[in-house]
Amino acid sequence: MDLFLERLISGLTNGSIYALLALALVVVFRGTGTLNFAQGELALFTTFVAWWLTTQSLPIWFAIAAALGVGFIMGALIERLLIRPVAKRNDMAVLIVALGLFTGLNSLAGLLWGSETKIMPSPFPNGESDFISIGGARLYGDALGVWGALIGLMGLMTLLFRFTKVGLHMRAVADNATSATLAGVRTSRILAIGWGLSGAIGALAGVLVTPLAPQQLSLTTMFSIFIAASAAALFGGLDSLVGAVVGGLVIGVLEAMLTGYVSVIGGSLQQTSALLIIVVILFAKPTGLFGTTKLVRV
Amino acid sequence: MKRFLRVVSAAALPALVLGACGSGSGTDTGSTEAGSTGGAASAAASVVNADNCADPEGVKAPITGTLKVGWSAPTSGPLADAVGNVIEGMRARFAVENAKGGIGGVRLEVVVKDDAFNPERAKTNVGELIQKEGVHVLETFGSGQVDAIADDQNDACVPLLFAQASVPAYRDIAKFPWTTEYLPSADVEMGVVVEGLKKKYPNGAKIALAANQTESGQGIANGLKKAIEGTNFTIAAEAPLTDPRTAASSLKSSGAEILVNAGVTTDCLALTQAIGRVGWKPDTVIQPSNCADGATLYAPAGDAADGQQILRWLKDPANAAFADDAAVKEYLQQSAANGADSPTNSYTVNGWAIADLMVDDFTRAAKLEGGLSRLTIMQAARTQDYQPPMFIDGISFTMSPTQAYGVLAFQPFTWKAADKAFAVGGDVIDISSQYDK
Amino acid sequence: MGVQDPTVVDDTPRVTAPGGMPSGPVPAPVSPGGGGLTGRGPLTIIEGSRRHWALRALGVVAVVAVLLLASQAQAFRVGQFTNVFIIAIAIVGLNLVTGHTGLLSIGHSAFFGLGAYTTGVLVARYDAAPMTTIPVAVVLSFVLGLLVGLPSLRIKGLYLALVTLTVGVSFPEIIRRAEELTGGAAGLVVRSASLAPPAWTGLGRAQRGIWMFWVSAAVLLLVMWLSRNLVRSRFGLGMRSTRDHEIAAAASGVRVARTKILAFGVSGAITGLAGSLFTMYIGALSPDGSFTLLKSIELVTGLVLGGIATQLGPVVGAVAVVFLPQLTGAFSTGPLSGVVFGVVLIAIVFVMPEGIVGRIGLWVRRRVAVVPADRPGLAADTTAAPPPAPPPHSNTHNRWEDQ
Repeated sequence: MDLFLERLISGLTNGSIYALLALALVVVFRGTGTLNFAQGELALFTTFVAWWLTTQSLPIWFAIAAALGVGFIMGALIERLLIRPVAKRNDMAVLIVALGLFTGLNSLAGLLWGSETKIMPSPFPNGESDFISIGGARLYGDALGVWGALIGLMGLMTLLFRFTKVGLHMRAVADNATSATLAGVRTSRILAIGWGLSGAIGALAGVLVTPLAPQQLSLTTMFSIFIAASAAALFGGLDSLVGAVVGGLVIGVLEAMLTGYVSVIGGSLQQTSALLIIVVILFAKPTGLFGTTKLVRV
Repeated sequence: MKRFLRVVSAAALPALVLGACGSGSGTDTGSTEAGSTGGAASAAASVVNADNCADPEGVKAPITGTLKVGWSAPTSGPLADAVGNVIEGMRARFAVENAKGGIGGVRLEVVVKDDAFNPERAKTNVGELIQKEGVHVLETFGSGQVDAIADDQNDACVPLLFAQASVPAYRDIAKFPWTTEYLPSADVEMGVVVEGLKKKYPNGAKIALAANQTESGQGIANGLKKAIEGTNFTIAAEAPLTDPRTAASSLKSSGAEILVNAGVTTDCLALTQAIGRVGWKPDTVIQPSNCADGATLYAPAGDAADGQQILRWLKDPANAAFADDAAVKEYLQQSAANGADSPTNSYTVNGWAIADLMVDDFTRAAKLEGGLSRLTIMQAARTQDYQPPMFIDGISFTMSPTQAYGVLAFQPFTWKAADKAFAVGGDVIDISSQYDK
Repeated sequence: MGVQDPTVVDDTPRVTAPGGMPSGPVPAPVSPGGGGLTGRGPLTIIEGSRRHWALRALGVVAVVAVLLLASQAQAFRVGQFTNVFIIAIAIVGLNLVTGHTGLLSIGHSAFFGLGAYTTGVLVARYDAAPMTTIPVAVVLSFVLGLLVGLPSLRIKGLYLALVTLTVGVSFPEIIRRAEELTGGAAGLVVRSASLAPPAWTGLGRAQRGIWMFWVSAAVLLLVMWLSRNLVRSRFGLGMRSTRDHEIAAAASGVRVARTKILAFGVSGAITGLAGSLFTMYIGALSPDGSFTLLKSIELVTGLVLGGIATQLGPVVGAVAVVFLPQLTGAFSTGPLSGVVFGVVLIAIVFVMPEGIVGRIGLWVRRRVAVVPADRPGLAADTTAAPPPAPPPHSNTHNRWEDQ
């Protein structure tokens, strides 16, 4: 039983990270209608910034706050300078800009801070003895912290979208950009805010995942997380925040359980089997579990 | 009584002969004399010759002016720092040699081309290095790269020396006479591990194996399985390292006394932290030899890493145990003076040691018939028995016309969490006798 | 020079859309043979006329000349060109399904890898002659393509891209698992002795480089010709209409389901063919070296840089993805070259979102237009007919242009 619980906890923790990054992807999609391929590397870059600040003897919370700020600014700038001019012309062009950012940001991080693996301090207690026992399994402080961050963020996002003016404007732009502009919404500002918000969420995901990741902070940390997060976002429906969270958790738990219990799959087909299950579910619900099916007049 | 003595002497004779053979190459630490070089060189000449070369004259042509060593290496991407340090170490060592006048007046130069760890680019790079840059010796990093270039470089008869890989196929001297690898074979390393374990657990024990799914990880796992054949060690559980936490949970339930990490540098810390978190402290934890850096891979895990064992063949300039070693002091001073940014980094030390081995090859090659040429360099490489000053005393790098394993001995070190440093964990274990046929 | 036909007077105002192309009503008619580079409207060339045949012959001569010149380069350059041809073949395959049928695929590395490993396994383990493994690789990739095409019936857009992503990600994992057959994570090496040119060519093992150069060039030309004919065929029309407006296509009688599945199949087969040649070129296969998601990204990048849904785009794109990293690596070392690569990629997309060939194509079509002989407006006497109006072009068009 304790083995099962350990695996469940591990799966939920990984899943929370996927969910965080998936939330960032969904926020971008709702605004611009595109999947931000560079989301993982942007999160990586801001995490490097946070790490660098901790090496300058600044407290970890300050570093995280700064990383969130940098993520917001970078996201907004990217949208304004790189995405907006190209989005008008061509869907594929946006994808290539994102791919260019993907390579560029990764290399820039390597250029500025070196490619060696770095140790990232965790904002939550994660020493050997900072755990509570649940049915024989250990729940460590940092896992609890990640869950807490996810729940907190979900709460904030719900508040934002439901009770603030900015949130209302964002929902309007996501629904129908032209009508929103006609109704007086400053669409361009909203788009930039959307990307900025996703940059900040990505930064949060990055700083939370790196203390837990096998390789700590290295240039390859975010790639597989990004793939799982994209799958999670798509699985849950690209325009559904709840779907992204559910998707992330499901993928995390699936991966842990499959690796643990189905030995013929083992660790070498971990990503494949999780993704395959997603594909099967997409067959049943082609726009994702919680996605809205668009009705289009032909 | 007489019959007894006859039996005993009959048994003793082969043992003596084998013993003499075994002690022949493994424990020599000095450089070989010209006389024995001549004898060994003629054996090497039967293996390495210019007959199948595309350009036999070019292979034998004397090298004058500059000797170029060409690298195809991932100088961009996640391995950039590590590779950068290796090359810095090599350049520093060559600079020291050039200051002394080079190899009989021939200067040593390093040329580097980036392949981003991509085998296709490695193949193109090597073609360019050979055809355009005219390099005399090649170096590369990574088994995929060696795979991509081995045929081309063997056809062109350009030596690939001390490749940073450990693929079993290239230890075959007949098929790949122009290729040698530097990294210890996983089979050899696991053989030494098992020798050490036999001393600690004379009655055998259960082993939990955490295996990385990449080629190096699988190589170590298979090496371990081969090494325990015929012993009373068993593998009680095996788990993939894709998710270290899940692996730790699964392996803990096996109740094994020994944990072997068949992984790469990114797995060492992760696995240690994972077993700490599930509350499992095996009696013995064996880390692979490439998990050598104490500060980044052991210290952050705190007490969970205490007592972990690793095998080393290089002296560690950062370790207090080697602070008084004359070779280490000289290395630190000379490498820093010649452009090495981080002399205590294990990759820099490796680069320096490899360059040292190359200088030994070149020096002996210059004394062979025909002078310094690609052919004599390869012949010298095939008959090397040299202990670089930065190798631990008692460990040398040996190649002969019958074996191409290089490093056949290790010294175990144990991590002491309280001191945040490695301490010597035993004597040098040398299994070269098993490989010298 | 052209003489204006006095009976047709053009006094309607001309509106120039961004990009400088006149849109709207027919501009002043100019007879064929005039205009063109002198700026009075495009030079029209009637299909089948002598001028057209001359143009074609010139094209063929140019291609042969370039190939001959390339084959004289140093051996490693010849190898690089071979790599370019192989990637170009793979991108031609990708173009069929992503460019012409509108189904984004970021998993084409799986087809590439399947073709490569089929040839690798057959040659290394079963001692097959390399050229005979090509049909096997093509058939297997075709079947995989059909399978991947099945989800496209229900799943669309980015969700379908996820399915292709799954295929792309799972391929290296499956290869690593099937150790017995494929060598697993250690990879599969096909020794050059097995890759020697066939006996009938009279070439020895040492000439396998130049042999692969010509084989790849020939296959590329063949595949480009096949692709061109496919796109212009009825099936191709079905592909393009599926891309442009699926429901209208279905309403017009296009068998959308069959089109999508077959498009994936053919696309996969062509990319698998490229993979097969790749094994013969490089001889060393490693699942994490050349067949990961990064290879899919490389193919998509090449496609878009070259020009989606163009005929020559794949070739230009392949040149870009092979030589661009080389160039940036030559100017700057280490991680800086990655940054420069990213910047250059973004710059190219900014300046030329329709791709390099797309942009050149726009420029060319302003100057020269090849029209079929039965185009309305052209009299039987080709010297005095008014030119056809250039198609209205808008830079804000969101769909991929077809050539």
